[in-house]
Amino acid sequence: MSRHRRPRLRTPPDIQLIATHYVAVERAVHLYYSPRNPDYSTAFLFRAPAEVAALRDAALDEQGAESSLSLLAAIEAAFRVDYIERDRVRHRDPLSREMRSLFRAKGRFAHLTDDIMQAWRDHSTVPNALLNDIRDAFALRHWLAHGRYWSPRLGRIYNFDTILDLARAVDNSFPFLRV
Amino acid sequence: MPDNHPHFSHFMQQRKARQEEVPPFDSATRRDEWLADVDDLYRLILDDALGSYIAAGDIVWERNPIKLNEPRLGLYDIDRLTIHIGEDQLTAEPAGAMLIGCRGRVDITGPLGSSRLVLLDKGGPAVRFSISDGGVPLETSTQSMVHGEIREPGWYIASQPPGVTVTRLTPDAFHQLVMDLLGE
Repeated sequence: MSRHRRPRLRTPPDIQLIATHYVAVERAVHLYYSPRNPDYSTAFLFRAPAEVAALRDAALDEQGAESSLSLLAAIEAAFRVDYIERDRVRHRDPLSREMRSLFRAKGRFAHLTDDIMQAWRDHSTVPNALLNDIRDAFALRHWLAHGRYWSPRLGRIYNFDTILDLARAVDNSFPFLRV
Repeated sequence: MPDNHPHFSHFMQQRKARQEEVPPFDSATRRDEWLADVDDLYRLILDDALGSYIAAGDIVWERNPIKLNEPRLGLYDIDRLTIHIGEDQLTAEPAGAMLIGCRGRVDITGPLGSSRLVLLDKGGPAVRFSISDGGVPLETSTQSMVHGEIREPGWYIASQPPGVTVTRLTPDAFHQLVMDLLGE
């Protein structure tokens, strides 16, 4: 009998919903900082067009960072829902057995990359390259979630589109159990 | 021109008509006017507001050229003014002439913050509304975009948005600005 309790699960935000929201906000930001905004002259009174463009670019960067964090959280949610469901459903495949063993030991405190993704690495046919890409992207998630107060060494340049590609690859490649 | 896409042709005609509506622009004259306006500002600061303190040696100043690159004006040199008062200093740095709602802006920066000096026409920036019915104008109104009276063209101190208030730049107003940016 596990001493850890399973949480009551709910369906996490869909990555397509996050992508749609990102596009809507991106278009709204472009419109707000353009002369087609009916309030443009009032909002940017006494500013130079180059200053308005810099404000727009900063807003787009911020929007990209926030939406990328949402996508990475959705990826984590997919892994954790699957992990908890494998404990509940009690399938007999090696991956599910490993997950149950992990849940008995660590419950909700299992580490995503060190524990849960290691189980996928050891007991599934999901390509290692994809698991490595997820692990690397979670360095970005850590940086975003903890305040961006240091210069990260991420190994590659990320933006919302690269994170969306990764989220779609995860969605298509992992036989996740879902709520 | 081929007209395979009538909607696009109409779009291009609109753009061409809009371009033709833009009045001719003499960038050299505009730039010279702007440089003269900044000279007037520096004269107001150095002669009218601070002249007696400069003469007494309590305030020292210097002008150094910086480069600005603006749409329609191109790349040009303009002076930044630095004012030394004791250990502190204020800088007046031109931001440009091709701005929204004014004919130019100079940013004054000190240890405690910055303030904007804007060059306004009489009446200041305003939004004009008109309601028309089938091309016949029914009602037109004008609403100022700032608070404060702008009875004559010249330099004004502008508060930070939202709800911008402008105050005529006078020697007394500049003295207050110096105390705000340096601390009393």
